[in-house]
Amino acid sequence: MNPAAGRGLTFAEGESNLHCVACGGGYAWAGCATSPSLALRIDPASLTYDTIAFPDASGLHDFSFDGSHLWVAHASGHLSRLEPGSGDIESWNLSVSSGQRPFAYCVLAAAGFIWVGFYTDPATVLRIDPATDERRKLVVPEAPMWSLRDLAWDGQHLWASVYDVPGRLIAIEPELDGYEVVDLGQQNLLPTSLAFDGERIWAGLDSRPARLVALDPETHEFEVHVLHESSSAARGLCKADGRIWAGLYTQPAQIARLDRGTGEPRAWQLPAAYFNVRGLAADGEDLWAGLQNVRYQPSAVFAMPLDCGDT
Amino acid sequence: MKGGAETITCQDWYRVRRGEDQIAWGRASELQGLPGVVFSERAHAEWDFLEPRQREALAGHLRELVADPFGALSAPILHGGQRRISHLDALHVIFTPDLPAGPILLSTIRGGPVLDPEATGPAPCV
Repeated sequence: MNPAAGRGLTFAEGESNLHCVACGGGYAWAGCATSPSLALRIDPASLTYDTIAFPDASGLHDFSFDGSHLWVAHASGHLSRLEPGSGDIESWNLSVSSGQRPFAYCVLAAAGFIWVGFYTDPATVLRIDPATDERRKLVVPEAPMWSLRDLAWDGQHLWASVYDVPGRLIAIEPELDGYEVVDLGQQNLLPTSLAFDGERIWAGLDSRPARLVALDPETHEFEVHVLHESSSAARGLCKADGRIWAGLYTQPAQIARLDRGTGEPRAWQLPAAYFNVRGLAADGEDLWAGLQNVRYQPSAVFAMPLDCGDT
Repeated sequence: MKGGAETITCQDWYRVRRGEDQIAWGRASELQGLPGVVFSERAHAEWDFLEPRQREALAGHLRELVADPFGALSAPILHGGQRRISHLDALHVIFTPDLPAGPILLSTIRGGPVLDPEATGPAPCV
């Protein structure tokens, strides 16, 4: 990993307030929480892009690629399915049983379903079978309004992060007929990003210094990794090159990971024009950081080659 | 204000954390006539949104907090460590006393009629 070998792309005026990145369908994707929502489709080789607008939706907050389509969650309560090559979009108006505004904050395509997390009071999780459109919902009283930040799948359970103090993770039964709450404690506050590395669920915390929690999904035991003193707010997590990477909401942005051998954290700083990581994704060659920057100024992505020969 | 610790919303936690980071990174300032109050960048932007009468009232309130940060005008925040909250009308003033006798560090004054600078753009010229 070497940011000096990286490539940055700052978007045009109005392509701002980036909330997520993804890789899939031969492209890297950046999502802007604007009105209307914007998906920026980036050619990884040339770093050129085109803009796809969602005419009926606004406040794009999250992406998830299911292997063929990109699923998109919007604050306006829409869920969209985007075909990567054509850019064709199909959108649905979602609802929650409480009748509240269905602010869709996060989406995950996993285990043949589309899972959506809502910023309702309390949080709602929706499971959609894309083949039949069968829908199931779960309300989680332990997740207050504006707290359900991210979703991850460990092969057996859906995991949700609850952005609150003490921090909490929710292990949800796949049929949405039960769940368990894991209390991370007062020091492990505000979990905001999740990833599964094949063995453990990782949570990135909005703490300073930033913390990463690695949890055994079977026993719910966890260990905590405190990053360097100048770190803060692990807003993006992803698995790449066989390990977990974290993007930090700092200015300039930082990328961190744990050393394979020692477990010690290492960090890299991006060039000064790139700050406030909101998401991380990987395409096998590059690690893509989505940079929110200042909300009213153009957002950016920064791609860094994963194969730099370091450990 | 009396009683025990207060709970703040998850959105307020977000605002508090952004303000705290800004103060830690030196993106903070003091206002003329308000010694002892360090404003985070976002708290300063929130201040800019206030109407003159609100600023006047808040300035007086902050002077009282500086004089007695642990007094009856504020309460600890549940699970918030040294953080404290104080209310002025609909404003939520969240700060940390820089112990032992330093300034109060103001992370956010978000609440009530304060527009959110993250959602509405830079402060209007007034």
